[in-house]
Amino acid sequence: MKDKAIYVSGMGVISALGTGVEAQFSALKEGRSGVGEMRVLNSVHREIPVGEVKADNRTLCGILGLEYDEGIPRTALLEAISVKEALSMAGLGDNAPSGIALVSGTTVGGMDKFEQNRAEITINTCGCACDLTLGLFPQIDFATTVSTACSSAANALMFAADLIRTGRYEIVVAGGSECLSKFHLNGFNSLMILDSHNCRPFDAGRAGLNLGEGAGYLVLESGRSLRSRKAAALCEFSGYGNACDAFHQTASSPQGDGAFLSMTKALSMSGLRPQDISCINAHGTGTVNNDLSEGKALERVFGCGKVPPVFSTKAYTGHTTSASGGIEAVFCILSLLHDFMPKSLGFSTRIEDLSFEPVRQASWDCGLTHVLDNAFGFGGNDSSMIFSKISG
Amino acid sequence: MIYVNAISSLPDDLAKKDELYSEFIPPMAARRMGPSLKDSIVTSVLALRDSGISMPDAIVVGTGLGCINNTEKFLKEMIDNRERMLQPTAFINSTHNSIAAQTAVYLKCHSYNCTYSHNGISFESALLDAVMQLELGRIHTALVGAQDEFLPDGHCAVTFALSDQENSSTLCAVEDVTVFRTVDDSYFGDRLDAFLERNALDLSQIDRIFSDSRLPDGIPFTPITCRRTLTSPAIALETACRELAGQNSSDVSKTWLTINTFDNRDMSFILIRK
Repeated sequence: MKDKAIYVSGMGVISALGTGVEAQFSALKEGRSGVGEMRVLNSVHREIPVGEVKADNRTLCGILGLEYDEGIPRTALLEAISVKEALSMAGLGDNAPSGIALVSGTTVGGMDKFEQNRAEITINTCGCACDLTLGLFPQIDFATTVSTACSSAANALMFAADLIRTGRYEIVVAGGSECLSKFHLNGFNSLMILDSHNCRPFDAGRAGLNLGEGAGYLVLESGRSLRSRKAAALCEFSGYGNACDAFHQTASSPQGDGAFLSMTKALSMSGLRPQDISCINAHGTGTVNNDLSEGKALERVFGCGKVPPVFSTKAYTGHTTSASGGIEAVFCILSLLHDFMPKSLGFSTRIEDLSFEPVRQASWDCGLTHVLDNAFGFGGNDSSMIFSKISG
Repeated sequence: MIYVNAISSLPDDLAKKDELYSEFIPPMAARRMGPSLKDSIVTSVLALRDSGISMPDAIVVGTGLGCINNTEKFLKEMIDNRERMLQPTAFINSTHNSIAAQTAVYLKCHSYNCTYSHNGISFESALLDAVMQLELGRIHTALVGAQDEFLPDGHCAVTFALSDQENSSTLCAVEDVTVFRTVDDSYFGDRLDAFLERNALDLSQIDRIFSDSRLPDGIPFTPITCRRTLTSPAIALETACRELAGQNSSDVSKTWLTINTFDNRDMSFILIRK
């Protein structure tokens, strides 16, 4: 364990692929999508495919051993389920000592409750999504919430790592949670960026994204803390970068300026060269604009013809917006632990203006050491993270 | 050391605000923007000007309720039109992060950009982010904003320009920030002790305490009166910084503290020094 390094010691996830890390891994191995017909969200747009967590709020309460309470936002339930798994994997479940921080990313927050009952916006804020988790886990004594749209969870992980780096905390659980809401489904629909079929990241014929929901959290921990409690790390959180595209609120710049900068910053912090990156879990939403812009940025960072294997998992889970940086961080760590790259679902034809195509088949024994993960948000809030295999 | 090199805040007076908006934001763009977007742009431009920073290394915003006007607008249209035929404009400008992001677009600033929204500690979370990155030497300057839109009970529009370099406009230094959650009443005292110890201080060495909220008995403090929003702790910090800067350096009490116990749950301490 290196003194200044940030380690991942636990992870938890819930998505359209199921509840828990193992359920995600099965689906990724089998190339099975969780995107399909809308069953839980009460929208008139039944024709739009979504990546729903296949359980209503009553069932989610049951997973947590709670009596059903219709006042609890769905985002809060997803968060608590995912945090519980992450803490438990890290050996920080029941009876763990206090002093753990929680940094959560969300944008929808309690919007699902607000759109039902408009009088309650001031209690259904972004921050309210943490209340359930805080109530359930007394080992957590500080929580804050990052809200940078679709990069919220990634930025939460970075802030969490800085809490450790500056000596303020030894252990921080961080990630993001977002439920589907009519508000943002209709928002994305009004922008005409939802595919009416399953999305096709990096495909020439891509026609938009599918929205999804879920939560993904990591336990970040200092080497000192891991040593003192004789716990093992899953991987190292070796670099991260945040930059702003500063181009448009909902569109990416043609050459992916923000994405280029965020990846460059992450590489710089990790001390790695572009050729050290084994593979990339792209933001890859399946919109015409994102995939071309991100592709151009990848070519700028790695060189045309030198881009490492790229995959997008958006066709598995849908775009889980604020949660995506957390859920996909878990996918990156699964890749590192199993030396595996999932098939980039939905792809068939290369984008003419790009020099690469995404991973076509699930691949094993890839020799993965460093995985780059991108999460980009509205407003050009672009973030990149690097997860590295523990050497030696 | 981390210095507050400028603070810009907007008046409650709507006519005066409109004047400032029209000075800095083209009318076509201004029409689409909610109040927080405009407030953030104007206070950021003024804070940069007063601090002598040309392009910040970070733009970090804390907002309790985000772009509540545009959120309400899109939601109302969605309900009234039964989810059909919706215009995206209000949605586009409804996300919390559009405040910091649109400020970056206006400034053409590709630097670090982040937004915090966590009830009564939204601003302090943003401040803590900037302070940590300054401590780590990753950035040298930052704009830290507190933005909450005009609601019947108040609004907040303040931007602080922070730097690791002191200059002629410096108001004071930010020594440390901590944000925490109270478990019970005794916890507040424990956290205050730990915070002071971390800074090699005891309570008797704190010359003045500012708060916009109620404090436990036995802690004398200067109350800040402002119309409260979720980000009004930023106004408490602004008041403290300005008063500290205005003190005569010979007779000045040097170490001040602001305490936020806004909702008796999430709390913060900010230590400033002349």
